[in-house]
Amino acid sequence: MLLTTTLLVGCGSDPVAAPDLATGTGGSLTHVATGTVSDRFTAEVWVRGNTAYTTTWGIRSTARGNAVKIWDVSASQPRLVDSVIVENASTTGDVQVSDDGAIMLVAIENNPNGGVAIYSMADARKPQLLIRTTGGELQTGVHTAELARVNGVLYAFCVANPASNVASRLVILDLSNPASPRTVFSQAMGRPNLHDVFVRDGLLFTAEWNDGMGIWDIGGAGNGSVSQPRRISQIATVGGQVHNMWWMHDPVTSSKRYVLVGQEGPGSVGSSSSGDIHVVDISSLTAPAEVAVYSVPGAGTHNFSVDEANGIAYAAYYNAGVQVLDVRGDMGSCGAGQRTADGRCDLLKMGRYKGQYTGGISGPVYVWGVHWTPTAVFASDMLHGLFRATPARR
Amino acid sequence: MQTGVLDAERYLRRRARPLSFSFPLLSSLLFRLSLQSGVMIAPLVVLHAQAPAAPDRQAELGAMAIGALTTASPAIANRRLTEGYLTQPNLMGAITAWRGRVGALRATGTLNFEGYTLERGELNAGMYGEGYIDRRHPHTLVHETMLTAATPSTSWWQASLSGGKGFTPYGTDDPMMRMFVKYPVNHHHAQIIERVQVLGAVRIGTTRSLVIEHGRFNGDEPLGPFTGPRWSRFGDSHTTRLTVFPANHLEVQASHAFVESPGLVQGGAFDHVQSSASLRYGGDSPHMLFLEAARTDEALEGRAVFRFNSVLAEGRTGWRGWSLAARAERTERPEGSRLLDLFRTQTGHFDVQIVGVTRWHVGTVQLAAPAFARKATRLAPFLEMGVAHAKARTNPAVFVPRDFYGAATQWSFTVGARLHAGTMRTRMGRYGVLDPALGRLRSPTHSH
Repeated sequence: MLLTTTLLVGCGSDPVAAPDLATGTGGSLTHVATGTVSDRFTAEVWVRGNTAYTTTWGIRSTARGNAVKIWDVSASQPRLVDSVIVENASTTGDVQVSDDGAIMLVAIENNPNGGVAIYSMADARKPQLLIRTTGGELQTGVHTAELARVNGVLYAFCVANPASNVASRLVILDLSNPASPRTVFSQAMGRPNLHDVFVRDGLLFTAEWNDGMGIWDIGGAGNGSVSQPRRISQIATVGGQVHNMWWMHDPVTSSKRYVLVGQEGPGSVGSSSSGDIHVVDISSLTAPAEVAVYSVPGAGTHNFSVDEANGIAYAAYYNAGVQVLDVRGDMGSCGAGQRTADGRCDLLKMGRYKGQYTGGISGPVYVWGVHWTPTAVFASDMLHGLFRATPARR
Repeated sequence: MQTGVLDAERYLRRRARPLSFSFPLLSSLLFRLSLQSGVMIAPLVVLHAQAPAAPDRQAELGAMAIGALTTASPAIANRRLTEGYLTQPNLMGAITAWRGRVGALRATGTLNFEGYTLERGELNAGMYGEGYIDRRHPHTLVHETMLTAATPSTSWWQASLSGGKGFTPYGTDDPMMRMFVKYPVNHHHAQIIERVQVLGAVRIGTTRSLVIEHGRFNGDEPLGPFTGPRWSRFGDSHTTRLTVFPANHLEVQASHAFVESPGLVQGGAFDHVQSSASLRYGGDSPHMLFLEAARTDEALEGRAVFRFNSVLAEGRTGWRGWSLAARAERTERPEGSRLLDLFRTQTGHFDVQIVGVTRWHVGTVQLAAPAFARKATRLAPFLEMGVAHAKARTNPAVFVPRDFYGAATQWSFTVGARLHAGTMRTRMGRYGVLDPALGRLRSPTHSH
């Protein structure tokens, strides 16, 4: 019996600022408040209950991205209550709390000793360090790290950066004893790098950059397992640069047909970005096909969060804030006038664009991550901090 | 106290003979080395055995190093740093192994010991590359080892073929062979060095001439001072350079290069498409002028994504052994994620992201005193001052130089002495028809 918990995908960095994109508030989200962060650049966001966690990135002035900020979000206004400083870190990327709330996982980029930090969350606002890995296969830096429970066991799916003469690789850690993670799978993949994963219902999706998106059976579609994943298929999406994914389950239509694939094109962090959202139809796991695309001129997508009950996707879009899309129903069927030149359906022409949210900021924004909850949508803006908005409704 | 820095080249040429090896002695040494290495040196010995004796065969050997004390304020994060170095320690050798009716064969080599003396890098505002930033990185131990075959230089044309590791035929002279101790920011825009290559060159003309060179090489940059290239990548990158000598002491150059994934050895990072143009006027005169423009495009699948431009001017004048040189530069550099050591960055931008573009304006002035000389050794004291101003090219920017360095303007002062011993080359990376030992070109010299 498979029980898999899927969580947000986070990572990266991107860029470009078309001035017309970076102003005004979104039509589908209502801005509530901003938890300002001015001492560091903000990276990923995770929310559990009344507590939000944001990581930090790079160097702002002389402050490193070695902090995980802890927010009380029980009220409208996010309130910073504490911070955890991750030892010997210069960028903390992904952050995630396990489904049972017991541990928090933080990805640490190359510094040059990257890895992950795992915290006990007995007190959700006072994380206690269990282990900060050093050396080994994670030393080149963990760009993304996802927690997922498969057959009752909690795993960390860690993506280790490439370096010269070192291939990027997926390293899966068994966190049965979170203070002593055990590697159960490790494999080089991605050209030139693996960037992220998504785990759900016994399937593992891998963002293998120019090699496209991989689909693996880890127990949900055959005899694969976490320790011995079996590749089912691989699809090269248009333009490559596969960065992140979200396999959508629509509880209303029972559709599990589509995977949203984020493309991260070239960009300059803080000012410019590029890359589209690609929609891949996986009706046939062995023959996935790209059927639709969403593009914002002058900006590029980053991490996703989906309100599946309402069929609404929130895509962090760096200098274009958060893009809100209607993802319910058939996204692969459209009229001739709704297609791109290469024949894919264009979500914008199909009227699926619902709005843009930039946190009520009149100047430039650079949104890294977004996290939907039934009562609020939180967005992490590298330049300003943590935005809070009311969710979109159908 | 004898002659100064300005006429060092002429002086050292005069002193070259006493340090030159006789060919039999050197060939014996090379034979011993070839037994250990088994490469490249062996053919020289074989050729020696086959070639008739020639009076102009000789080996040259020279050494250089600079002892320097630098204070930079702010060097980084609002901190003033003062450091001492033994920088640019090199042992340079060359031998014209054979010269006959159909041409000549010459080997050139340089060992660079910065891997031992400069591991932390040298404070150098704006400088970047090979994982270092705001410090100059050490070069590889085997800096160059090239073997060249050339046709005779007496004709209105001459051709040469060179192979080995060394300076590719792109851009301008290595800063190590120029006037200043501190490198310009544009080193990686204006030179492509330490690559395994094969290059062909043709000269047309005599007093007024042009030279065209084309080289194939490996795109990957050195990982460190003691690492070699990825041999399988040999030939994935290429460069072409046209050099024109329209008048005495005047040289005009234009070149273009494609460098595949220099930042990630296994490939997949940005490719570099580079262009360079320069003019230099000098010769044996104490006065010289050098102008340079260079550009690097970071590209994916042939499409330029980021562009970095550079313009630079250098000039020098002298009087009674004193030398006064000045350099002005405007160069753009990409910013990358810094590591715990703020003078280090990730290389390659494997996820096609940069952290912004910084535009540097740097001015440098150097005053060098007449050299102390004893036999074939010279020691030339100098004082060098630099002022640098950095600004993000576009806003918003996450790398704000003023915030990061702690001031809008950075100053540096360096005092030291340049040591030369033996026979010194005045330029590096000039193989075949551009090598004065093989060709008929007597290109303008730099101070040394």
